[in-house]
Amino acid sequence: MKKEEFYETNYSLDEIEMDPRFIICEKEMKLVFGVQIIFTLVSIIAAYLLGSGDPNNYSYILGLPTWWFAIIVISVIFTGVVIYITKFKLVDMELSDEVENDDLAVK
Amino acid sequence: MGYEISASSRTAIIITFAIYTLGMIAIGLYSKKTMDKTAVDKYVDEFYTGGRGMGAIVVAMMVAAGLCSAGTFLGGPGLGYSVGLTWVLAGFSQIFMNFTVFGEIGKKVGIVARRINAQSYVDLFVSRYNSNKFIGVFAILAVMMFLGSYVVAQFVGGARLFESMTGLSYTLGLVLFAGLVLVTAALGGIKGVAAAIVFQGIIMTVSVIMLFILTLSHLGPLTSVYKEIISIDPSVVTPWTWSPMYQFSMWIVYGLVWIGLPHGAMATLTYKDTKSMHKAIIMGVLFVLVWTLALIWTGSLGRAMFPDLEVPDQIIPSIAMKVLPPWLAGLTLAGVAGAIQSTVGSMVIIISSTFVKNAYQSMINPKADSKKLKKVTVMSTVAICIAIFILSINPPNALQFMITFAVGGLGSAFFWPLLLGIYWKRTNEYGAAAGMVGGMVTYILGAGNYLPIAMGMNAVVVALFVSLLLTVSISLATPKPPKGIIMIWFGKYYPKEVLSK
Repeated sequence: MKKEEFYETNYSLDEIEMDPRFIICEKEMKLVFGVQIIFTLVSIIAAYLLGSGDPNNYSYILGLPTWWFAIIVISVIFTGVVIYITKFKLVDMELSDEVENDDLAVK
Repeated sequence: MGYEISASSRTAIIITFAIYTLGMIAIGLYSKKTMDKTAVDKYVDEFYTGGRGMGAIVVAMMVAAGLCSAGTFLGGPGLGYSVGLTWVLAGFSQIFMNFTVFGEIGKKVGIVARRINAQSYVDLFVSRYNSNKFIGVFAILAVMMFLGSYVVAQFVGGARLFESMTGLSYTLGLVLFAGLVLVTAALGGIKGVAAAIVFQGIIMTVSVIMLFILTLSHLGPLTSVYKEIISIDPSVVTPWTWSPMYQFSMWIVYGLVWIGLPHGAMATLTYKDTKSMHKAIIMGVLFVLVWTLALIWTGSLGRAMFPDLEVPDQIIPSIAMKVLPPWLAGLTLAGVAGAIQSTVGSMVIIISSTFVKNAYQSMINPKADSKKLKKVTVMSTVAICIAIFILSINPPNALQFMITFAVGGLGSAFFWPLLLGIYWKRTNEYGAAAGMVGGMVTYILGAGNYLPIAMGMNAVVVALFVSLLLTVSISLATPKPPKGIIMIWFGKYYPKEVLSK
């Protein structure tokens, strides 16, 4: 590739063929974001609903205020979800290009 | 001070801490031996990214222990003590930090870093943003100044704790804290720091678990403990002490934006393969879960033991002195030291890599050969440690300003330009520059209360919004990024020969 072509800015972004690994990376990024956001919303909603009212009237589970007990349970459940996703949903891939792309790279 | 210490307890604490210190020195010397065997032309690669061969446990700890600093051991439990369970709730947002760092950018950075041979966090910005001078200089200054001052703050905290727990002098504490980091970082590079981090992570975990279990058994039935705390101050036990909006903003800050912090993202440059990265996520999540749950929660339970502590940050050491036998209390001190030193170690490597790769090699002396680079690498790492040490002896007031804004400022500046640069082709250097400056300035104005723009939330949220808006709109208003760069960062095929020059 010539220098002028490298610095070309008048081209269509779609004409560049995406590396399929990057498409997977983007999907995984969205999944991770999604899980963290759901964890955030579930935790906050549970805490503020179950924890409303006068602390003097709180009910207790295993010695903990109910809302706090719920937060610990939610965190442990999501830890399970995160481990499941990491083990079974995130894809293993080759990180270096050497193997498959070497002869195909633009000369 | 929340605790009184007898002379015999002090001796036990000092002995435990001395053993920890010896362990650290051994690791430093061992890493130096490994680095001495490294060929000169591979030295810089090995020094900063471990030749991209880091295994799962090391990478897991680099993110987990690297990001969990004095904040998780002193400041966090302190807020758990003074603010209460609503802060502990916010602290829970951080437990998946390994998942978010690696899941958001881990693999893509892993691939691109191999293509462009990135050795520092700033390298990623320089490559993606067309070697733009402004972005280069801005990133170099931001990383060096903010991380530098943050390191000083960590040392000061560590040395003060050392002073209060052992009765020995502040300066000696500083020598032990800073000197050890110097030994591991300057002699062993990222490998020295990484070996130390694994050791520190184990110490942290053991001390945290002991502290947690013995605190619970000391306190007895929890229902009555909570009832007692409620009678002292009910706000400590309800989430409503913070508004739901503010709570949400804290979850954004501590849950989502870790990749804006160089010491969090650094690990994505070093891991060996995706298998070890996935293992690192799982291990990291479990470790951070244990640390967060046990420490910050313990801090909030501390109200029942010490109803009116003057300095809330002293809550963990105070509890340790009360419920643990002295040699285990010494282990807690070692745990805090580990948390501080692991964070500082990775920061020193980042500051050094930013200076050597991005300032020295790209701007000052592009023709430096590998022998010269090796020398500059070692010398500047030592110089950085010495400079930090001198600043920590008597921290200047101006430093306080930087420390206050360090983490939020970096996160606000780098999050969107990094994430969008990685996943949105259209992002260009103009948008990124605007987003970095806009994010950082908005954060400082909001967090410093110079302008009422935070709207009842943590100022990071509004800063991120401004940064996103600027990055996207300015990118769209200016030309596309160069074709070659987009091929490197997105394409299946890319111009290798341009990179090798």
